[in-house]
Amino acid sequence: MTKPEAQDDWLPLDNAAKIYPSTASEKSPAEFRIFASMHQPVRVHFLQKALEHVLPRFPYFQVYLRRGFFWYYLQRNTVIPRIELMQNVPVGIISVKERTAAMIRVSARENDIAVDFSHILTDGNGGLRFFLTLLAEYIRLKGAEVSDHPNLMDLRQDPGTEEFEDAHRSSFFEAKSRDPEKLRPAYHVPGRPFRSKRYRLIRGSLPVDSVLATARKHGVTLTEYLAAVYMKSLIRIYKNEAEQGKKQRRSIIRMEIPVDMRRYYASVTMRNFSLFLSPEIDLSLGDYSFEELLRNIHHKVQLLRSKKQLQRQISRNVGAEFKPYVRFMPLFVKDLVLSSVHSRLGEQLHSGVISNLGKVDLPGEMLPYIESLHFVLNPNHVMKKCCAVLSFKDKLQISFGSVIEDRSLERLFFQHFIQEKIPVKIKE
Amino acid sequence: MPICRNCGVEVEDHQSKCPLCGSPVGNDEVRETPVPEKKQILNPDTAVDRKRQEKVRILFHEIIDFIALAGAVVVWAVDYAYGMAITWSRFPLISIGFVWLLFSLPFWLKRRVYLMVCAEALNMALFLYCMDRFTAGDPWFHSLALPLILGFGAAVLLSLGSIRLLKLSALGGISVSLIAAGLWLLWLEIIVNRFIGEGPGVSWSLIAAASVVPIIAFLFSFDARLKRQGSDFRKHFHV
Repeated sequence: MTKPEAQDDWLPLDNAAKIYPSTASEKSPAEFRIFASMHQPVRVHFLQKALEHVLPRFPYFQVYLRRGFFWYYLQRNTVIPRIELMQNVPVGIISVKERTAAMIRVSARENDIAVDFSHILTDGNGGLRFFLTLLAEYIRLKGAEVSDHPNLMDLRQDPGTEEFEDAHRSSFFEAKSRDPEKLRPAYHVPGRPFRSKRYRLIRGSLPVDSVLATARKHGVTLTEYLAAVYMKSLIRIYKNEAEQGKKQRRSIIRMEIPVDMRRYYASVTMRNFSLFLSPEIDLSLGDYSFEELLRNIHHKVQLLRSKKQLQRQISRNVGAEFKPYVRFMPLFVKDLVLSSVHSRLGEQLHSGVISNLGKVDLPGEMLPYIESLHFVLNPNHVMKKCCAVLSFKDKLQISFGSVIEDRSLERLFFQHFIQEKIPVKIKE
Repeated sequence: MPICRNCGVEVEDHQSKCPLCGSPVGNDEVRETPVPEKKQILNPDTAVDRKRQEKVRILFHEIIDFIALAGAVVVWAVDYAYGMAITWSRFPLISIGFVWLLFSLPFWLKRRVYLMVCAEALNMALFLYCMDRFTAGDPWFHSLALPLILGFGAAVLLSLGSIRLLKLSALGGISVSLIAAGLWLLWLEIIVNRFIGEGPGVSWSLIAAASVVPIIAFLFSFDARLKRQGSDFRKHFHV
């Protein structure tokens, strides 16, 4: 992103976002929600004011999606969306047909404030930063003094050009190395997706210290530990199916674990800048103990998250965008090609996803107002379930989105912690 | 502060209706039907399977190799079997070799564009030299074919070099290619006229080259307009 582009009235989509508009469907959403439960009922007037103060500081989020001839683009505007009534699960927010559909939605209900983001705009890290800044401004308007904090954007400053940057492009170099290894399709939990509703959400709240201590006892990170528990639950479902005589076509269980690339590159972009790791096991090789799963995931994650391995993903993704035949392909052709590529290569490769936003720190003045923070991912109809995690204060908040009625995965997942003598509080 | 009985949020004192659901505030009448959800969604990531493309490319090249080799062996065998010497088969053999190189050079030199252009020009020159050598009549390679091939190669290199060095946009690239094509047409007529013994003057090629000028002028001015004010244009046509 060059300076003049930051001043234009439109923005090109970043590299990671380019596929989303073409592959848009009810069955395969690319949205996430971050929400806070406050100690007191939300005061809508202040929340609307806070949004009016905060959104202009994030001009890359104040956009509509439009079709160009070769690519989609983001049309900037100055409209402040109205605060809406919060739905229990995020509703779709992107409409290519609706020319003035906002791509973030701020909503409230009782004590809860939620922001739904389209992945076309940003990833979890960028979304969290916006959400926390909005929350801080809301609390300021309620009369509290909120001090500056690295997780909050300074509303007195103008947005920097680096915040607009497509960091995938900036960190790209033409690698002579081969593309990342081609992956075989993975196992997916069985079940027919809901027809009457979009999906169901089950949330679990656990003491973060206990889970962290358990993970450390095994010598792995929190995310690796949660991924192993997820994988263990998937194996149990796989085996149940096998015991019932169902012949399994796929024996690979592979997790998708998003990684914030800002940790590896000095970027302050507020747009998408994350990749994912794909640790896997092959059940055709035999059974796995939980300890084996932990070791397997730990070592693969350590290996895959090296900067050089991640660079291979960037080189492949950005290199594909630079190809002349891709650049000059009319958008209606791209729509067809990308939908096909996405369904064949994108969705089939992972059995489950676990996205961890990490520990959220806030200025002490904000804490008395906020009871809890939550992160929710929208599941697609292939993986059927997905898991989003963040920790705030002393709680680890885990949310499972599901497009099928069966709750075995969630039950097995949370039962593991009960067996570890870690209390779990569940809410649907 | 009044609280909406439907949404549970606090509402300002002066507001009679909840700003979220529209229910009257401070009234027992509560909206029972949920606010209808808007529909719409999007969707995620993908990977371009370059490895598979590479395999297809290799397979394609192997098929070309096989067809060329099989064709050459059959042609040679048929010719040799009837007269115990190579006679007419020289022409199909040379043609097969030319076509084989024509397809193989991009495969070998896919990342070296300038070298590939030179190699293709050399391949064409070699093919035409052989044709000239093995056909009866006045020689035409040195006076006609070679200058035309060199001129064509130079035009392609000029276009490619300009596009790359000047980092031209798509419209700029098309304009430069049209300029190179116009120059080559002029060169073509000069060489052909010299070969058939006419003067070095130009006629039809000048008309062809001149007719390209307004198109180039339009493309350059359109390109400049895009760069100058062109947010509206660029956003629709950015690549």
